[in-house]
Amino acid sequence: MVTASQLGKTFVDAKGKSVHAVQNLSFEAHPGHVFGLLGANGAGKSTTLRILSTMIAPTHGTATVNGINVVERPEDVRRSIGFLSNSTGLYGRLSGREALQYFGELQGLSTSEAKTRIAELVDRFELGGFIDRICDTLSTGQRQRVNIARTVIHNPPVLFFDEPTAGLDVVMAQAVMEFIEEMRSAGKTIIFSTHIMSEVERLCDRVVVIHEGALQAEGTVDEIRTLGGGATLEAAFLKLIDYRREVRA
Amino acid sequence: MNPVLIVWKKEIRELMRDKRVRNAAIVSPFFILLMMMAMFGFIINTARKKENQKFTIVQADNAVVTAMKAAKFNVSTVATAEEGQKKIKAGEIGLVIEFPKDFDQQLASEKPATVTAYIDATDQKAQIALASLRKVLDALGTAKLEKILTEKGVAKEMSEPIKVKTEEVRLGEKGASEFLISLLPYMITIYAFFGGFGAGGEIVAGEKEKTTLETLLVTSVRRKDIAMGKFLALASICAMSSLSALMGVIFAGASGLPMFKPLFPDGLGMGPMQIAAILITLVPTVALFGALLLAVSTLAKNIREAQQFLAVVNIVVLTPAIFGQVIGLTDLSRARWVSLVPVLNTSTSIRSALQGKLDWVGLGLTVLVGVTLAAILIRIAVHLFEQEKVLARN
Repeated sequence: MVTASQLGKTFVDAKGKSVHAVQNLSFEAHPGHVFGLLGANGAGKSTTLRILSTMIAPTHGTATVNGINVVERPEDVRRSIGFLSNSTGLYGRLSGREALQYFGELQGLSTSEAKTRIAELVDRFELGGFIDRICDTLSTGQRQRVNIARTVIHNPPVLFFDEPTAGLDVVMAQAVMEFIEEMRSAGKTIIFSTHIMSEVERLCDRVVVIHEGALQAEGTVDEIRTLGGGATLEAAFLKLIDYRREVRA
Repeated sequence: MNPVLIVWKKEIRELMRDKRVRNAAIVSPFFILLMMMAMFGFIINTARKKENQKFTIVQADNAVVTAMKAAKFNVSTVATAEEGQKKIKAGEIGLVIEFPKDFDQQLASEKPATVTAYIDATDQKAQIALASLRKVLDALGTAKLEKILTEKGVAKEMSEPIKVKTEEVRLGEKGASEFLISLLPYMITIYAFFGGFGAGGEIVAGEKEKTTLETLLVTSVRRKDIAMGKFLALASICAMSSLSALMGVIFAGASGLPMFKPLFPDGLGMGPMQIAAILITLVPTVALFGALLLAVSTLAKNIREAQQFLAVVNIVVLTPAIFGQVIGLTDLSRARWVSLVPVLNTSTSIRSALQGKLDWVGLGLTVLVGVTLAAILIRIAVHLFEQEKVLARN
């Protein structure tokens, strides 16, 4: 389970001005569910995921991942999570297998445990044709498959996905979504950040709409649609973030 | 396995697959140093050959000219001194010798003779040729003087009434050649830094740029351990680089190949103690450079910025290293405070070792200063690595 309570993050920009990237965000995500963070670019989705994955500390509020406080025991939190984003790179001069071995060992697996796990993942994600090739020579799709395998190399109970399909073709995006569905079925707690409505409608059990770092609405996809008063999720979303005011601004 | 070692192993594997790092850290120090030494050896060998020493004589026929021709010096003639000077000005020749017309007669009649040398002072080959001529004329003059003294009943040894007897006293049991003493401390110190230059830019700034850092930071390993693994990898690359330079020198000195002979007339001239002292000095030096490179790479937002920072750091490292090369010309090489100046102390310690003088206090201070500074820089690098800003790419 993942909880966030009054979570906030304030950055100071180059001019010394405070920027509230996340403000008083509270939610709960449960095992076996996909919890969506829906927002436009710059809404605070990635910052929220970075706080939850302990890459950055919250300015205020608390969060727990798998029952562990993100500020008090960050290493234990990171042992419980897998993180995948559209921008996570792979080491160009390592092969896929070497990269997986590296991350497996960093996540606490022994050399032999990591090898066994890699063999399972190679079968599961059909990596056999390219797993021993240097990552620089892999296609975008092949890299993303290795990256997915890297995310679950240590079989974590919680998974964070930060716009994982951005920049992927339809086929690869489909594969990523199938993977998320499979992980949900396996009982993982999943937090999924996106701005693509069709992905939210397909995957998310519950959604929070974030705008300018603050929570605008929370509920199931149907509840969000009703709250926004739109015929479609997209229309409801635009209403919730006050799209017209945004355009005028 | 310890997470620090996991990171170190991965970094070394990845860096060694980078052609630029491999060339900078292993290939270049060994081969460039060898090529440089071979080139110096070739130049010295060439300059020493009599047939390569060119003399232009203003039309004259005397015992010296005959002796020079017989000794296979490259002798040509011009009609007048003016013609010779014109040729020097035109850059065709560098040295013209003008003997008095009655040179042989002057010598025979016990009159002093003046030989005029017109020389292009910027022409090194002309300088070498003039030095050879001086030797020939000095020998001739001494022989003449001895003959006169003998005829007058004075011991011929009085041709040189006061002699200066030079006896070399080595600082230690065994010392390296002068060439090695002037070159090696500088090269080893410089290569320790430049070998890690490319890797330094890549190791953290490269991860930011290639978006792999985020992936690394969400593993359960502490940032401190990641930073330590990266530091060890950089220090290893720096060590490889200076060891590669050292191996190049050892190979050149021990091989006995003719091209290296002029630089190592008595062989390598470096014993196990000297090599051990160099290795001891290198440990804190590569630690210092590894920590410095890590701090710079962590501070930079991308590889380009890291390279810009390193260009500045370069000056800080180069200045004491260059000074270390010429410190022997001053009294400072004996000053104790030199052992407290990073980089300069490394150069000086290696220099002392090569001279066969094992200055254990200096060596100890060099190690202490290096280790202390490395520890401070590692702390700074780890601190930077633990900052949220480490994720900033732009």
